[in-house]
Amino acid sequence: MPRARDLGLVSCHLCGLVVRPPGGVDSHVRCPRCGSGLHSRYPNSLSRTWALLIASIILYIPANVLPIMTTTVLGVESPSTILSGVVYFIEERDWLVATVIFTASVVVPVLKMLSLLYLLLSLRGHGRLRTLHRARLHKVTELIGRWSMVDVFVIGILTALVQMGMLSSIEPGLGALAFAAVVILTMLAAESFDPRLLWDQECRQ
Amino acid sequence: MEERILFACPRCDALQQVPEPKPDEVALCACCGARLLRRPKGGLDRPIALMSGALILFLVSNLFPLISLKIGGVELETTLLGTSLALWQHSSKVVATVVFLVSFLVPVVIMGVTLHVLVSIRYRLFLPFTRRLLAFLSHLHPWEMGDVYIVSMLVAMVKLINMARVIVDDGFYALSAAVVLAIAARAGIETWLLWRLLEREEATVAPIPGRRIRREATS
Repeated sequence: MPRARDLGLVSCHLCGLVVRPPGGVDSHVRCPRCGSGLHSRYPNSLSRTWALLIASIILYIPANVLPIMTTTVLGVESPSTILSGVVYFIEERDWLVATVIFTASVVVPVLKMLSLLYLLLSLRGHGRLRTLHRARLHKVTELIGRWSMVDVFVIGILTALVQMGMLSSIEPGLGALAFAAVVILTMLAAESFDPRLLWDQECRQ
Repeated sequence: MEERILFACPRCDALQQVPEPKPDEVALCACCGARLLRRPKGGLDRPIALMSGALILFLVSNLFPLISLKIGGVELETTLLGTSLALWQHSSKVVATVVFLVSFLVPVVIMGVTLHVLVSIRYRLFLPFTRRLLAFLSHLHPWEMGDVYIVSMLVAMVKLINMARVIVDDGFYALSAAVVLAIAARAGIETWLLWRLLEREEATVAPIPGRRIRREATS
């Protein structure tokens, strides 16, 4: 099956138009239909993905250690972290909410980071999965990433809703900021990884 | 006469002639099976109706209280915009701005922009900025998280019920309905199709002098 890059063609990532840039596949031209910049492969895909992934891994530590939310009732402050929130719901025997929070805040981000790490290392020859499965892994990582935003949204909603001044209030902690950064950075990392690089590698072998 | 679209798979870069999908059909990559093109069931009328409904409901929901909370003997009810105001007065102004942007301004802008593009294409109005706005929407697509927001609202409700007596008010139902309508509207739109419709519309109008549209592709 012919590949666009081998034939000197570039496909626009926004509108899908297939274009032959007069200056070659890697020249900087704009799509005639939608005006966005044309790139045969995402520019600096690997270095961007590595940088975003490493930053998100580093930030995952304060996201779990620092308090994600502080509930103040009648002057008494109760800070809570991601894990303390899960433990609370387990103690309350609310298994459903505990599972939802644990999945969205721990399982999903960690799996995303491990998947991206695997995909990046596999491009250096360390992977053993077939290209098709690796491509699927990337697709799943992209789709699932957004669900980690549940935690961020919940804190935002609770902060917005419970504001009664000194009687009672909910405030986001620094952990929330770090966690939001982790979610956004892993989403950007998955988005900046060009899956076509996997197939480039297969064609080279 | 079945039209074929020249397409390069965004996942594996395989070049192929894709037969234009019929309504409710999906075209898959012949090489890696990735989803290339999808044609939604109907035309643009239903998405326009749904998105208009979503926008109206969203704006109206701000006139009614979202929920009522009773903590420690004090009862408080609040609207969506009221929460940003409360944060501005009692808490960090930065958080207040972020909440205002993310919970009110951004959704309204996205809904408005979508309507602008849809109406412009459907009724051949050639409203200004349609192309740039469609490009803007195409960029935003991976970041649309209305469904995540609904689940988050449910989780937040559960957490709140543990803390206080919560009464769900009209504003909440209106807001939930608005998000559902917006998701339904979005499901009836495909970006590649909008670009093709836009191109076809503009091709039937005399070209603006000085701007040539050049497209070259091999068979």
